[in-house]
Amino acid sequence: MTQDVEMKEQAAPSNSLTSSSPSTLHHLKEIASLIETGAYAREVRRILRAVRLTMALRKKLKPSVLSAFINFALTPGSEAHTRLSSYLPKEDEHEMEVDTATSASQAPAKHSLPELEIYCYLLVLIFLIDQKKYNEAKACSSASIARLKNLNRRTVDVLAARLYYYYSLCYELTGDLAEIRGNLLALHRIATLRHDELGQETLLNLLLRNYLHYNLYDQAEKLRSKAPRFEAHSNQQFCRYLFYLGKIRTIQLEYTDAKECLLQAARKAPVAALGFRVQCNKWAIIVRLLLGEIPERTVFMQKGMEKALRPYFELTNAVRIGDLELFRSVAEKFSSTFSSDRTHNLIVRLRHNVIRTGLRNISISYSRISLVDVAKKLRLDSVADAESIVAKAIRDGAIDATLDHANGSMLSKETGDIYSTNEPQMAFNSRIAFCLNMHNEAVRALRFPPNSHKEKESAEKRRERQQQEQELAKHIAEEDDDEF
Amino acid sequence: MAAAAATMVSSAGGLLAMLNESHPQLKFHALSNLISFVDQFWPEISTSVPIIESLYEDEEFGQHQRQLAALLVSKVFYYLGELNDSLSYALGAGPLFDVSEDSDYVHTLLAKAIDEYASLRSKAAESSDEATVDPRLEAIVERMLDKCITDGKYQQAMGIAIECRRLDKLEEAITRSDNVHGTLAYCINVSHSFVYRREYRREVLRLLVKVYQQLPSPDYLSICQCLMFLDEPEAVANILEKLLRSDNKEDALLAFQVAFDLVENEHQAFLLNVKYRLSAPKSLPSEAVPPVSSETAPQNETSAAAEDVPMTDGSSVATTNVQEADPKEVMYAERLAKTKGILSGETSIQLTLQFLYSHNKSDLLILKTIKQSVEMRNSVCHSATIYANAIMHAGTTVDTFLRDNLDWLSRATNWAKFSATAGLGVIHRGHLQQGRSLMAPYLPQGGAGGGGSPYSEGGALYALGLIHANHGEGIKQFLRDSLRSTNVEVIQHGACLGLGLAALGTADEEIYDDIKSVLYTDSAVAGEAAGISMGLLMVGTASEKASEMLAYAHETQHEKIIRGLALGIALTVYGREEEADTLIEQMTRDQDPILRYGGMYALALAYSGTANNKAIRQLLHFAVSDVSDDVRRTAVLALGFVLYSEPEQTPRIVSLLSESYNPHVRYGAALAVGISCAGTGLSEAISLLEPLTSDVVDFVRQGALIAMAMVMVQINEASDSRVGTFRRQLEKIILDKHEDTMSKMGAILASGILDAGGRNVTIRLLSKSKHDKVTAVVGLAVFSQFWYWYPLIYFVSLSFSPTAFIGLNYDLKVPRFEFLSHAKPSLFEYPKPVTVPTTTSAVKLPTAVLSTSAKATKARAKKEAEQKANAEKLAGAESSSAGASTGKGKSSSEKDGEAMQVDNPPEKKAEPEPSFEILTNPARVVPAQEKFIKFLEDSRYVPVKSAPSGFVLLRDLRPSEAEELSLTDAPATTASPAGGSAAGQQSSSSAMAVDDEPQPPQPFEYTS
Repeated sequence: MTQDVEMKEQAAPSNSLTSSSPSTLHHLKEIASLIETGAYAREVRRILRAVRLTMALRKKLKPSVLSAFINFALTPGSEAHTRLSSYLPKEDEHEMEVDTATSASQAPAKHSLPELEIYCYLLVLIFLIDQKKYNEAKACSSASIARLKNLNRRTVDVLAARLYYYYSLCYELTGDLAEIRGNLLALHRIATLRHDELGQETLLNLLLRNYLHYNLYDQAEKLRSKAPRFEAHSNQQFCRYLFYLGKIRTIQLEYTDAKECLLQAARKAPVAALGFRVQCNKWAIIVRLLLGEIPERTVFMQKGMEKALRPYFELTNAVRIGDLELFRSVAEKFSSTFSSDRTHNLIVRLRHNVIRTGLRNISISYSRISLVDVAKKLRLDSVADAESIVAKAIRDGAIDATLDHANGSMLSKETGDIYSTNEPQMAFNSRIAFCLNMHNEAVRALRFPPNSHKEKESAEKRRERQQQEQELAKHIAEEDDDEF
Repeated sequence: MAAAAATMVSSAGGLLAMLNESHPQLKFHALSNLISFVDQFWPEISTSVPIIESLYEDEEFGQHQRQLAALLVSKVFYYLGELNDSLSYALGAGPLFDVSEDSDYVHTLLAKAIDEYASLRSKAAESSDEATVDPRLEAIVERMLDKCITDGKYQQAMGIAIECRRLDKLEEAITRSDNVHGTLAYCINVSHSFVYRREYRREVLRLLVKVYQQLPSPDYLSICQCLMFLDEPEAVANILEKLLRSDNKEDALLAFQVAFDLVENEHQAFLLNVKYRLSAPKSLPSEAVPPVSSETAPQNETSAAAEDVPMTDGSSVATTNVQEADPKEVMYAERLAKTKGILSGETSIQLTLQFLYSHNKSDLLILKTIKQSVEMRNSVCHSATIYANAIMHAGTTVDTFLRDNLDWLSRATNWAKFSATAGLGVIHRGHLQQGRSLMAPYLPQGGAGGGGSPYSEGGALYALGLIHANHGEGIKQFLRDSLRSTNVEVIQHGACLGLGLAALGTADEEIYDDIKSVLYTDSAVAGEAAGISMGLLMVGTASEKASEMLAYAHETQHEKIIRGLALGIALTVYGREEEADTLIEQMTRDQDPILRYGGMYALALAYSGTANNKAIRQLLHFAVSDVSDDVRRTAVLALGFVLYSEPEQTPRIVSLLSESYNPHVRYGAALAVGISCAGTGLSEAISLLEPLTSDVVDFVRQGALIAMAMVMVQINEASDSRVGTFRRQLEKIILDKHEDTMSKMGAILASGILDAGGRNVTIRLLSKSKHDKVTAVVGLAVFSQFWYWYPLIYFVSLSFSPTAFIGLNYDLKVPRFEFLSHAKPSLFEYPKPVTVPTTTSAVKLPTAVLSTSAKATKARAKKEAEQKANAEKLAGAESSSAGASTGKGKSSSEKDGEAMQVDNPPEKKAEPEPSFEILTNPARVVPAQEKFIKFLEDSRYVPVKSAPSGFVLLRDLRPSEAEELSLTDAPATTASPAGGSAAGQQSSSSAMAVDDEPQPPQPFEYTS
């Protein structure tokens, strides 16, 4: 489950950086100025962009560059500066000097924006995680979180959300996720009080992840249902939320909801977030199987997923045929994969479904079939077993049939023509609603440059236009006269 | 132990199950553990809230346990975001809810508690029934307040106390603070900007006055300002009297200062009341009593009929008694006379007049350019030029331009003649003594039917009103007589407007009846003026006359009358805020768009300068939803009035409206910005107006140009380069042959407003003490009606206030006194005069001199021919022309000395500009300059109140030395008797002012 975490970061577009571009430090400085203008103009959009740009630079971060940037952005000697510098390894000292000599001397004590300070924390934290220095990362993130608690600025929110994320990530990597649960809850509360919706979203997801990590599905669901709701701000966070929700729903046996959530998550996730989508697909496949559906072959043949989805493909095959034997063998063959995917307990549930799917196939194919045949087809040991299974399936509404005990056979009822019902209409309606919604969201996401529509008309042009209008009016009037 | 448990336990399920046990001990254990886990497991606990709630309500449970349950529920609700429930359970938790705890939970709930308490209190106060407030809630809030006060956070305490309507706590906070004066000032400020209900604000101010009076050294200036808002003339009169009777000269100076500050707010009715309540000197001999008593007779204004110069009356009485009375009483009488002079507004008007005349810097060349470029046949632009001239010279008494261009002027016919004549009133504004004689040639000749055109007669009456605006004691009777003796509707129109102006806000019943009878003749022209005039008369009284007017507005068929009445009704509710709501509701719901339009004005004026959110919301609603363009335009425009106390807000609020597809809305947006940002030169306002000045629709351009001029008045090019651009734009529009008449007219008016009052006035709607200036606001409101009726443009002159610092000594004379403006002189200097291809000075100065002499000779010839003027007048004219020309010469030489940089650009390049400037009393101090004004420490005079502009009393530190007076031109100083009594000085100074004036303009004849 860890790979899905990494997805967006690696996915960040790297094409914005060309090989011939100036030094990373230069880029960082540009980002810093972006943050600055964003902070002054209260434009969260700019800061979001800064964060996106940073991710592109992630691979190029070096201790020298970082310390140079910290020298540039923070006042040397300030608390944040000393703390952050202490996390950075002091290797190639001399090289660093070359790089920083000019910039550090130029701008001391110029910026003291909290946004920049938090941004520095973020950079260092990312660097530490990439360098696998998890203990330093933990210390750094805790310090940054402590600092964040005292800041109440909306422009920090974007950066804060990222920090929360890495904070949780580095604890997860060291396996101490339970430690920070209380802290995350407190942060979530603070974010709610400050109406920091992005923070709320992120923290809620982190909390859900935290609970799910320890299989605390019940608590996760309680928190989810009690936490304040609002419209999603970040697509990524919304995808995650859907994914976690899908998992919870699956465990709670609400497969229809779960399927919807998981499919939507997979669909909404950015193309580059492969790991996340694979994970979504795995769960979605199982949920669909549990629902008695058989996913199409194309699902397994998606680009880049073939290998990861292979076990599930075979599993599906077994379910499709309704072959218990095959199913058992597949489950055994890939048991290690399944348990690492944490889908093992669901696969156990599937056995029942395999039988039921077989039964449904039989019910569709035969209008009347003896229970002995049913037992044979499903490779059940006894007829009595078959009878009880059929009876239960009927009661659950999985098949529409009756049992003829006297003759020991199952009678399927005629299925009506679905096109004579409202069903297609409803399906159609939901698709239209989906499309309209998508369109509306796209329109809402559009941005216009300020005042571009105001094209000024010069005095001459105006006069020309007015003259034309008058002539036109005269012309029309004359035409009117002509008619009489 | 709890912390250790917290890390171990992964679910609260066990503890929750324990709540269902029957043994109370177990339940208690569960509760106390849950409390420590609630931060972690609130989602789980929230499902069991009903059980815990029932525990709280369980009578058998122990007190402590129940409170514990309440605290737990409260915390869970807090996490769930249900703050109301959370608060009520927290209150149930009693002592367990620890107010001093430093956690988000407690902070949030405390904030919630205060909000809740404040809203409960204000709801109770507004509905006036005693809604019971939870005593526990009250206790918490009180605890907070006490904590604030003991911690020394007085401002917070005051804020909360005001919000919660706890005047007792407010008083405590103020009296216990370490800097009572500072706190009081802060509190006054807060109560004006944040207390939205007028009634409550009055209560707060009343409390403040009480606190002020208990102080050992009360700040009388502030007290009197508060009392004025509370409308308590009695108290003000008492304070003034106390100060005047004091032996200390400084107290008297303070009293004068108080009086000047009160006058600045232009509340005529209030000032008159104060004046009448000041008791007469006690031990005066019997002979003095009758005149004094006639003056003090309260509110019996009409009995003091035709008292043209009440001041001289009173002071002459004082002089006659000098010898016989007790010296204390004499001193009091003398001071009283001065105070009354100030309160009647005459002192300040006279000084302003002198200042404007002596500092006049208007640029006749601009007018000349306009005149030449305007087509003769275009009557709109022709009269616009006349308006522009009047505005440019408002209050300066300089009518050179008119006299130079009599031929051109005579092209004005009918209503244009009306406004041309009325323009003289604007030019001579405040010329109280001479007003009537100035206008005499045009006034209707009593009954004889002098053959004058009714238009010029009506205009003359209107002009008289403008001259005496808001100080009409002397002229009221005359105007009434004129109104009654005519039935020509044009004259009635002028007389109505004049009366309304002169008796502004006095609510005089008899005048009201006179005007009403004009209204009931149902003549459109006279009725419109009558409607406005009734409003002017009743400004801010919220009298039930409004319903009478509304009824007639429904009855009549004439749109003009309805419009006049609509505005009149709006004027009556001026500043009444929520008291006016019923009337506003009634008007805005009306079917007639004109009355809805009046409703917009009512909203604007009732909430003027309050920035009340409710009013803004309502106006914005009408601005976008009404079906009538007029209503929409007015609704947007009205925003300007509501927001003038916070000009920075307006551009932001109307920015979207200024891009509306509807030109009327754009026009309204332009004027709204113009009104609320008038004289501020606010950068955002200019940026918003700039695109509108080249709008596609002509009238929008007109509005934008006028609004821009209002914003830029008294701002020069050095402080904002766009001013220069704008001036050039105006010139271009005026010279452009193809430009639409509407925008051309806008440009002409804009040039007038930009250089208003000889470049020495600004548009100011707030006095320095942040109270609204009634006359100014009313003036602008009526001015904005020029859309329908051009003569109303002149009302803009009511909103002009001189940008001057005028220091006065004990004798109310202007001594020579220097102070510092700590900024580059070029930032605030006068705009450079327009240049023509030949040298400017060569052209400009001669015209000025030539005009006077030419005029004088022409005048003499004419008078002799007509044989109407008597010899006395002739002599006066001669001497005045001489005086004027010397005055001119002096002022020009002065200008050379003062404004070296202006005249000699090469010299300026050579040496860097100084970073400060020494100003000499009386000096021009523009609003932007005020923050740079510093008083020199080693100066002979010290200001009583360190105000950077306006009238300031100066304390003389070296009274023994001879005083050097300024603002008196050469002939006047020789004429004034040295060291005469105050009264003598008073009258002589008024006489001197008359001497200075150029002689009254000659009656010009209309050719048509």
